[in-house]
Amino acid sequence: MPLFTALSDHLAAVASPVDVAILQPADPFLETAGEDMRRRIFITESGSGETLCLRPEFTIPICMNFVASDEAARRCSYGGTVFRQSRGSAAEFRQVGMEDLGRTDTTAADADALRDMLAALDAAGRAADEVELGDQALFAVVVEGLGLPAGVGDRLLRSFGAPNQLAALLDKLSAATPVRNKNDEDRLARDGNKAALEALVRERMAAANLSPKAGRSPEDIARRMIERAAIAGFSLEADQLSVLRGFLNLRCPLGEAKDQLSAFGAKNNLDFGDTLSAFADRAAQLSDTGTTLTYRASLGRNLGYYTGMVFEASRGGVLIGGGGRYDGLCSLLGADATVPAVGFSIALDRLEDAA
Amino acid sequence: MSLIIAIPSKGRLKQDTMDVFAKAGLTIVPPADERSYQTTVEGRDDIEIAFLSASEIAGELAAGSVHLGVTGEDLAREKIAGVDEAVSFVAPLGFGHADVVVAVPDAWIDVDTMADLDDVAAHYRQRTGRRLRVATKYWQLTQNWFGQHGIGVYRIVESLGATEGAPAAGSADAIVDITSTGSTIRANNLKVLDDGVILKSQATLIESKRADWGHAAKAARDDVVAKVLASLGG
Repeated sequence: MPLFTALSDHLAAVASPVDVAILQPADPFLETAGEDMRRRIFITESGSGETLCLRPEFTIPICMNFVASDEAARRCSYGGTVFRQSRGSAAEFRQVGMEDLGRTDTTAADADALRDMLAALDAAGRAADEVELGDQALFAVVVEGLGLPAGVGDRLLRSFGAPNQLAALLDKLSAATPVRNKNDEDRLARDGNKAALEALVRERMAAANLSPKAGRSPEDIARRMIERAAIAGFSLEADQLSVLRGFLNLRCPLGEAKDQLSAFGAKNNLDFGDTLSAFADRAAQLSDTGTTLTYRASLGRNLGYYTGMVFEASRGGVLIGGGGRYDGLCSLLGADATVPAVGFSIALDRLEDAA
Repeated sequence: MSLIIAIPSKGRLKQDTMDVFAKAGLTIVPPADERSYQTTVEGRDDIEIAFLSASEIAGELAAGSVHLGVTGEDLAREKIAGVDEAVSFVAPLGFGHADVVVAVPDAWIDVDTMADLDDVAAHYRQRTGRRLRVATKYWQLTQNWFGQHGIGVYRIVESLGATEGAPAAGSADAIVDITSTGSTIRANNLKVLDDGVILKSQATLIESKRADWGHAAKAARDDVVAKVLASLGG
């Protein structure tokens, strides 16, 4: 049986198959995945001027469809061709995958998603030989535990999953943040005089014909000005830096991760609390997959809407599939409340290479 | 086959280019017909001159339909995908200076650097669910520069007319544009970020790597480049 059929048949049995149109509005992809996406998608235009694209993936259209529906939860599978511009590899290839939306037992949903992916690969005769798993929620605990000033912690969290960016940021934060002492607004910010800063911003906005109601508000600007002044001169201390780097370097069999993290927490005065309990529960539910599962603390996806577990499966050193928890996505696509969501995708071109 | 050199067809760029060539001993003959876009160099039947718009020149260099061309480095870097595989930058010519810069409203007193902009973009999205909008004609340069600074949370809005007016018009929050003295930026109540100079551009003699480099074209090229470089040095 061809690989694609084997995988999609297997997934159709565990999650109801859905169709996604090949031609999609481009905007949701650009809004969620960012400008970087623009150079990777094939953009075209409808006769009425609407910007469309060939689907570069399935998750975003599936979530949009879910958000527009009145269902509370949906577990679905998909399979088909996706289109991406990338130098040096095929512009179209097939993908299969699964999305589990709205399921509140997130620990079980996480474990099921990974198990389903491994079982599908197995059924297609292309079992993964290694899976790495990371969890952004643990990094968030480390950052919070260090008691860093507002702004600094956010920056670290935003860079999680982008190793080069995070390394550059740590280097930068080891040196003192510049102290600005140029003008009146710097002085007002140091004094925390928010009212005066707001007035000043309003005045400049009026002079520039900027509406204080569109875009950034004077209040936002004044608040961040004070926040920035508060971290002037700040730098990460050597022990904070070594906690961050030490955490990011953790890598061990998933079954040992709980103990290693507890020990790391105890040594560094960090309490992983419920986050670690949930992590350990999930790890326990994954103890019998028959695949080598490795915890890698630095593994994440730097897209802004990934919030927890991320995993990557490989076979013979080739990355063949991956997935994770993206609780932030549906709200970005217009959902009123946070929708717990987890899923994975398998790239067929990679899988064929990994015979 | 003769060497084809594309030079700007209008305005200051055209005049300054002709002056540089004349100084190098390569006098461009005015076209016989004013509407013609082709001419020659005095006493050189191994060279053809094509008058084209500055942005067309970038495209023709990329396609390899001209051997050499004079255009702004900004246009070449913006218009040519995989620029370093397509062309080489032979010599900056000392005119047509313009910086491609990132500018924000001067009411944004809390933003002086790309790192500030990164923070602001992320907060803005968290608060409003929308991305900060950057108006520009320079999509490629903007994407590369923002990417290098780890900023992913923004949207480019295409600017067709005066980019520096986009924030006041409400169609964007920040801009990426060219400026030579900064006065237009200041006049529009904008400020250039401390580390917001993406490219210091000027008119540049550029060589296509994809053109048909026959023996004659190569010989003429070596002569032209040597003469232009010598005249710039003197």
